[in-house]
Amino acid sequence: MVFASLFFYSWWNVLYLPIILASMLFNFIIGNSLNNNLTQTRVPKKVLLSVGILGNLALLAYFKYADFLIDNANYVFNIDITSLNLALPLAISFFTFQQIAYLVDSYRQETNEYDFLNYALFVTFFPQLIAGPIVHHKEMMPQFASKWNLIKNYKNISAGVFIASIGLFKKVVIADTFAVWATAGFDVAPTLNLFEAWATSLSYTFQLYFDFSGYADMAIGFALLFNIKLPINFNSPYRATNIQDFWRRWHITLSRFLKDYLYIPLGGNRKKEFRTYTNLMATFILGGIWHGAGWTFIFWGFLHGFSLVIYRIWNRFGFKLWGWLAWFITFNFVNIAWVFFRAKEWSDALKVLSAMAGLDSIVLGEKYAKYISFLGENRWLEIGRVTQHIGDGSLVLKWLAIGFVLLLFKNSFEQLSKFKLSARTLLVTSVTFIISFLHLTDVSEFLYFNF
Amino acid sequence: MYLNFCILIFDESFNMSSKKWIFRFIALSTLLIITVMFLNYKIDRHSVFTNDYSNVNNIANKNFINIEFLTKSEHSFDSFIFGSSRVGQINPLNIKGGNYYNMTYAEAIPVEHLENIKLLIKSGIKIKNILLGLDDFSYEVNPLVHLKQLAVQPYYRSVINEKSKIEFFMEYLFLKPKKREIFNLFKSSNKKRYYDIYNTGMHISSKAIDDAIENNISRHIDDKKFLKPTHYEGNQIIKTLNALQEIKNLSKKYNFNLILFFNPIHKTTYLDTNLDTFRLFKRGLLEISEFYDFSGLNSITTNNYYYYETSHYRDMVADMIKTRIFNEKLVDVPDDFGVFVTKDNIDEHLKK
Repeated sequence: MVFASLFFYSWWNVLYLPIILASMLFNFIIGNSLNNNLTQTRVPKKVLLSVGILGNLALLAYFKYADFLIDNANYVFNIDITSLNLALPLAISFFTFQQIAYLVDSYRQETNEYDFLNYALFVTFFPQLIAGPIVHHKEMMPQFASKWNLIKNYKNISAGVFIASIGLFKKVVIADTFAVWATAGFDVAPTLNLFEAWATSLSYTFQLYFDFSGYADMAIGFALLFNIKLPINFNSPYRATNIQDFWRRWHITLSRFLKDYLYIPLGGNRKKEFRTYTNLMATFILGGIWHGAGWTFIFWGFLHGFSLVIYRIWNRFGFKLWGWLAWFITFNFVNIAWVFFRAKEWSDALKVLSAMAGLDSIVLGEKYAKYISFLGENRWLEIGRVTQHIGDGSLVLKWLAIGFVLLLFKNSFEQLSKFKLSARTLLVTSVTFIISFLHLTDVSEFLYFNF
Repeated sequence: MYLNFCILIFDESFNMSSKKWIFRFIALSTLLIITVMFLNYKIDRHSVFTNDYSNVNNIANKNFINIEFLTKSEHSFDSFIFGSSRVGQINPLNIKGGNYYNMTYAEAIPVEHLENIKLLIKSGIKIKNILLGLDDFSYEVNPLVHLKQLAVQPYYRSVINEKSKIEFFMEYLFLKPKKREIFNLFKSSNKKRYYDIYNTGMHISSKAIDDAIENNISRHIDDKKFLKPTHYEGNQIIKTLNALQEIKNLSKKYNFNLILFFNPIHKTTYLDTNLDTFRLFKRGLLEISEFYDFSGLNSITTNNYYYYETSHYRDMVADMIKTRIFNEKLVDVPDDFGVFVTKDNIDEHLKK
C-alpha cells in the first residue's frame, strides 16, 4: 500500500518523491527520538521538537513562501532579489502539517511504537494524501495495524463505492460546471456588472464547496475499499448560522489541527478575553497563510478571525438573531470572504466586491429598456446583455438555484451513515458514477491540489 | 433481453447482500455505459461513424471527414483548398487548372494541413494544386488543443494525433448525449445541411442569412457584433513556419503548385491582433514562399457589409480572392484588395 501510494504521488511529478521521502524519514527519526518509550537522547526534548517543527516549516517556507517573502522584501526595501519560481510539491501543506502534529504528540508522549512502513502509510495513504482530510496518527495507526482490516469487507466496499461516486459527481459535474463561470468572471473582474459579480462570487462559493467536499467524499470512499475509515471533513458548512458554526462544519480536520496545535497552545480561551481574541486572530491569519502565499489569503484569514471575535463579543452580550437572518448573514459573509481567497490580485477582489455592491454599472436586459427610458443616458444603469462576460445568464441562474437547493439535501456524511443496500442507493450510485464518467473527458484540476 | 436484464438487477433489491449490491452496481453501470455508447453511435454528433455525408451538420468533424472521404471513396479531385472555416466560402467549382476540393474546417492550422497533405499523398492521390489560406490564428492556436476537441481533432494515426483507431472512436462513444439528440433519434427530422461533402467540400451558405443582410444593409453594417474581435493569442510561429516549409518541400518533391494567401481579416479582429508578431510571421513566411496578402486595412476588410461577423467573410469576397489570385475576371476587385508579396515589396507592404 505504501508503494502504491508513493506511485500515485509520483504520477504527477516524480521529482517530488525524494522530498516527501526525506520529509517522512526526518520526522520519523525526530518523532522516535521525542518518544521516551523508544529512545533516550541527551538532547533536550524541547530542542528536538523545535528542530523538528522548524525543519518542517523551513521546507514549507522554501517551497511555498520563498517568492512571497522575496517579493515583499523587494517592495519594502526597494531591492531586486530574483524570484525562485519553484514548483510547489504536491500536497506539501497537508503532509507537513500532519507530520508536525505527529511530532507534537510524540513530545507529549502520545505516540506509540510504529514501524517506518506504517508511519509512511500514515503520511502517504493515497486517498487522503493530496487534499486531506488531515488525519491524526491516533485514528489511523491502529487501523493500519489491525489484521481485521486485511479481510475483504463487502459492506465497506459497497459503502465506499457509494460515497466515492457521489464525491466524483460533486467534483466533475457540479463543481466543474460552476468553475466555468467563476473562472470567466474572475478573469474579467474589472468589467463585471452587478449580476455578473454576484454570479461569479456565488459560483466560486459553490465550486469550492462541491470541489473540496467531493474530493473528501472520494477520499473517504476509496479508503473504505481498504477498510480504513477517514474522519468527516465537511458537514453542510453553508447551512451554518454563525461563523463559529461554519468552522465546525468546513474543513473540519484543518479546524481540529489549528485548534489542537495552535489555538490551544497559544492559550485558547483560558486566559483573559482580549488574549482569546488575539489567539483567534493569530490562528486564523496563520490558517490563511497555510492556504496560500499571498496577502489576499492573509486578509481572508484575518476576516474570518475578526468575524469570530465579533461573534464572541456578540454572544457575550447575549444577542440573538432569527435563524434565517443568521444564516443569511453568515452565508454572505463567507461568500464575500471567498472573493479575497479566489482573486489573484487585490484590485480584482475589490473590483468584484464593488460591482457586487452596485458601485459600478448595473446592466439590465433589453426588455427593460422601456421602463427606464425616462432616466436618459446614465452611467449607472445600462441596457445590454446582462451576462456577456460570463456566459449564458439563464443557465447560471438555474445552476445557482440548484446550488442552493442542494444545500437542503442530506450531506454525504449523513447519506453514508444511513447507507442501506437498496435499489435506491444502487441506482443513485450507478447513475452518478456514469454521469461523472462522461464528464471526466473535460475535468479541471482539483482546486485543493495547490494548497 | 434488455428488459430482463434490468429486472434481474433490481430483483429482490430490498434484501440484497453487500456482495450482490456490488455485483448489481457493476452490472447496472455496464448496462448504462453500453446504452450511452449505443446512443452515441446512433446520434453520431460529429459524423464519424457514418459513410453517408449527405446531411453533415455544423459540428461534424470535417477535418476527419475530409480525409475519410477523399482517401476511401472514388473521386477525381486533384487540387485542394486548405484553410480554416474562413475559406469555406471559396467555391472550387469555377477554378480552372484543376479539379478543386475545399478542405475547410473550423480553426484549421498549417500544422494540421501538413499532416492531411501527407495522408492524401499516402493514399495515392496525385496532387496538382494546393491553395492554402492563412489567418491571424494560424500561428497562435496550439495543435495540441485540437486533440481534445472532437469536432476538429485530426485523423487518427497521423503524426500529430497518434491515437489508435479504437481510441479515436471510443472518445466519440463516451459523449454526454443531449436530450434533444435522443428525441431526434425517434423522429425523422430534416437536418440542416452544413457542408457539401460530395461535390465541393465547401460550407453551404445560409440563404436566409444573406437575404436578411441584403434586406437591411444599414442595420447589418451598424450591428454591434462588429465591435467584438475574434480574439486569439498564443505563439506557435516556429512550429507553423516549419510546417509550411515542409509543405513547400512536398510541393517540390511531388511536383504540385502551392499558392499561399492570407485571408481578408475583418478590421476589428485585425486590430486586436498583435501586429508586430503578425508582421514577423509574414516575414518568416516570405523566406519560404511568396504569398498573396488580403489582410490589413483595405476597402473590403473595413466594410462590415462583406462580413457575417468579425471572423467570416461573405461569398462575394471569396470570389474577389479567386479573381485576384487566378487573374480571372469573375468579379470586380478594388485595387487595394490583395497584394502579391515578394522580397521586393515586403518592406513597403508591411509599413501600411
